[in-house]
Amino acid sequence: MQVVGMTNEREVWIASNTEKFRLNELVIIEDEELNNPVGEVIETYALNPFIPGVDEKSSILVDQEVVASLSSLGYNLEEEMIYTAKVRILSELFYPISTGAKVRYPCFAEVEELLLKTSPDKGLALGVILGTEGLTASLPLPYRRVAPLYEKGEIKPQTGVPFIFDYRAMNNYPHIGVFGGSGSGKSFGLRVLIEELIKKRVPLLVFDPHYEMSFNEVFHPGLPDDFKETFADRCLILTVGDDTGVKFEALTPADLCNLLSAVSPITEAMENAVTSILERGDSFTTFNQRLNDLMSLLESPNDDDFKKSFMASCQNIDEKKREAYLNRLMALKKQVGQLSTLKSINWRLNRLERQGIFRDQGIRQIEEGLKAQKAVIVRGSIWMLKVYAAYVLRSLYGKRRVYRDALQKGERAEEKFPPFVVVTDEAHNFAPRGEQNVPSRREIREIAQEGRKYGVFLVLATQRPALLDDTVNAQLNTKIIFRTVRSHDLNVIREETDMGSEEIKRLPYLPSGTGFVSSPVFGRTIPIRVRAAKTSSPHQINPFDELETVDERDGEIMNIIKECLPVNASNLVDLIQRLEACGFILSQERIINYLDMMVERGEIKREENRIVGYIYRLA
Amino acid sequence: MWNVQMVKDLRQFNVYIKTASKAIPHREELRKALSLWGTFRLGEKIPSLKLKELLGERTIAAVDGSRIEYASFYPYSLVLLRTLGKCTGREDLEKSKVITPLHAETAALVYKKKEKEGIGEEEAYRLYLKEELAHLEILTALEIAEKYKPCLLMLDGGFLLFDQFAEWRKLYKFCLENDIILVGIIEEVATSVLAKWLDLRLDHSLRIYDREILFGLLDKGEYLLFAADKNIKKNYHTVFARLGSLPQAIGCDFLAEQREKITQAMNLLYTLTPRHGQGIPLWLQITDAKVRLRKKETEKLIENCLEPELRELFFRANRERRAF
Ligand SMILES: Nc1ncnc2c1ncn2[C@@H]1O[C@H](COP(=O)(O)OP(=O)(O)O)[C@@H](O)[C@H]1O
Ligand SMILES: [Mg+2]
Repeated sequence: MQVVGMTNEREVWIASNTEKFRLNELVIIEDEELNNPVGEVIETYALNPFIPGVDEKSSILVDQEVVASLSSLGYNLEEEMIYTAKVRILSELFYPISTGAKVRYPCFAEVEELLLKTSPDKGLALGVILGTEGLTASLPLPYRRVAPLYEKGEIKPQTGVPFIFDYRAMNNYPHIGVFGGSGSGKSFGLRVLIEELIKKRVPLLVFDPHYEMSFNEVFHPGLPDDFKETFADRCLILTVGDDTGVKFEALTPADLCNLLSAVSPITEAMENAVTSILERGDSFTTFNQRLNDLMSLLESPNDDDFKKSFMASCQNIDEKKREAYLNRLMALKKQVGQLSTLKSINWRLNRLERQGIFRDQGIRQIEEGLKAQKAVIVRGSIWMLKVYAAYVLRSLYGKRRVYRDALQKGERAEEKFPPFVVVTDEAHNFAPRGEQNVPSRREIREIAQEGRKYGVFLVLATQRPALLDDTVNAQLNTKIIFRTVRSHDLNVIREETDMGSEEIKRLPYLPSGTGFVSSPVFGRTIPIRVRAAKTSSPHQINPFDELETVDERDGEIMNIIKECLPVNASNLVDLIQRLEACGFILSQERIINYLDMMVERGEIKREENRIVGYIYRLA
Repeated sequence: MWNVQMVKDLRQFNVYIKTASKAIPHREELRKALSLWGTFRLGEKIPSLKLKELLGERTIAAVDGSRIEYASFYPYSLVLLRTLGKCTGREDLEKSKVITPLHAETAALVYKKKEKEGIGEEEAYRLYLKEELAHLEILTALEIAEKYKPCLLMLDGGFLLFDQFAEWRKLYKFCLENDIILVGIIEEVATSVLAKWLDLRLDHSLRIYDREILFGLLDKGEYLLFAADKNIKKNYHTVFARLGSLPQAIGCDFLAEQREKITQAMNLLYTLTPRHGQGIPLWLQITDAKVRLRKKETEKLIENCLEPELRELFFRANRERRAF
């Protein structure tokens, strides 16, 4: 291996007729005067001067016969390969490298500084650095078994130097972006990142729109025993609407407007109405009652009629109170204006209620989880999470700020609140670029810009970096980039990272789980293969398998059907009634569907009768 | 820029060579005449399997050399010579030499040549270089022959280029003793013997070269083998052959003692030559391509090894500093 051709102080070409160069591998260029600089292979070529290229003029035209003749003499033309590679010098040089300089592969110790910024016990072992496979043998023990790989459904031992992310450096370079198209390995990578953060007992708040983040099942039986690990007891999974929601009593008018507008955008008139109607300390019930009474008032032909019926309706309440309430309604009537405005508020409110968002355990559980240094995973539809995230983030970020500010001023903080990391997939939904008003964007922007001061960090994954808010994007100091195909997204990546054009060119072709890390922590773009996960989410049923399996309900229905056999397909009334009596309301088609399914499974048989059509009976 | 006179002169030259080419008889006539001196034969492509059988453990070898100069003007010249012996399925053998008349020793040798040949000093230097390369090639060939004892050993160029060296005798003897067919492949035939044999004459004194007669004369795969007593040069047997698609023939020099091997050798050479192209056996082309010293690379190498000031002092011509 040696340096050939023109060189400069940043890049050289190297060539060999025996070594096939691999992308991203490191080489040492033996140029004493320049202290034997290290370079990284960024482009590779193989060239056979005797096999003409498609578009080159070659002086030698070879026909297959001659090649065969030579090969029978023990000479393979294919072996006349010349391998060349473009190498980027990783240190700063002030004059060019000598042409002809020898090139060799390094051992680990010679390049350690370039590859490792911290050790596995201090940082996050996310995978291996590509191109370092040749260093595996010279790798010290503590670095050897921290990142087994997953290839083609099997676990493979770690090859190469582990990629260890120094998460403490987030204090200087906050926030992480995880970008990549669908199927590129984003979720997988996010999982590995979360596993590592859990291991370090970093409090995590994970928004999980895909219901895929749980950490209690072993990913693969082939994982080495000393690597296997699950995290059930360090996770707390909550579902918005079931386990958690917002505390209505704590909502400000602005909060409530945010929530309502998440259902569907709201007008200024609606905002004003909400502001007027919501009273401090309102529960959902009191607010809803007031809103409905107000609507009745606006609906009734005149105020006196309403007054009469109202005073009559709730005799058990103290008359003074009733009157005060009535007066309040009258006053509100003047402020809120249109009935249609109230109706619009009403249906949004009811929709939220039905989704369970006001089913409040407050966010106490989340707080407790974070304080216990757990990963709190909040599930819900994107729609719900968008609403919820705004509320939760404001509340928790606020608490953390109060605590930090108090510490700063030397005051005794009332409530200790830990630093935490917010993780979410589909981040472009939470902080979209553009005009429309998305409640969570403000909070995410604020954390992106100020979070570092308070020890609150973001890990945002998205398949559409181009749709992510610019301010937020610019604050993601570390970016992990998987396969990306869309040109818009590639453009954003080109602008927002220090990736070179060679790497950008490779992005559309990366295999799942392979990506680049662009981070000021490293000072250069590092190609990585994300390690095998330790855990997986419970087996996801393929929807097509789902169609083929028979669940309990189906079984029950079929049993009832069997009891009613034989039946005639043109007269299912008895069967329908029988099923309804058991709580199964099915159409005629559905029932025939069940019958045919049972025929297919060989449980019953179907006969054709010329007069009545099909008759089903026990087999 | 060219002027009217230049155009006129070139047109006139065109007429001149046209007349000359017309003096050459037609193909059929030529073939008839030449068949009195030798025989036209058709080569055979040997199938791979049979080739293996034929050669057994033996191999095909070729030797070629390359020379490149880094210079301003004489005697500020630095020449690199490199030769390569390549044997199928075996390791390559490379030799090289750096020559410059700035060395007293070399200068003395060049001076001797100049005196002997009665030519200019620079011309003597050119001749010296050519011979040095041929010498190096013969040394390489000898080493290849001794090391691998190939079945066929190709040299790049006719035997006349090589037979002045002491090692030639050694190579010659070794090849005969070890049944190595030695062949000198001549890509550009430069002799002018055939016209004399055929008694072709032009009205003016223009010479007819063999290549003019050979052009288009042979069919694809055909070669012309002269009778044993009809030698183009010395007592070597020269065969003219068209092994590829181009209509021009190449020459192949054989040793007189190996005459009965010529058929086999020609079939081998034909087998190893791509159907389309100049008709040079691929093995020789590969050797040629691998040994060739390329200008840019060489310049880089020299610039790396010589200090800039010295380079400037010795090898930078004033005209190179001109802006146009
Ligand atoms: N690091 C990895 N190693 C091996 N396979 C991976 C890796 N990352 C992803 N994959 C494969 O690619 C598939 C898709 O990955 P996933 O993370 O779900 O993509 P995304 O979230 O980007 O749509 C996974 O199911 C897995 O089979
Ligand atoms: Mg995903």
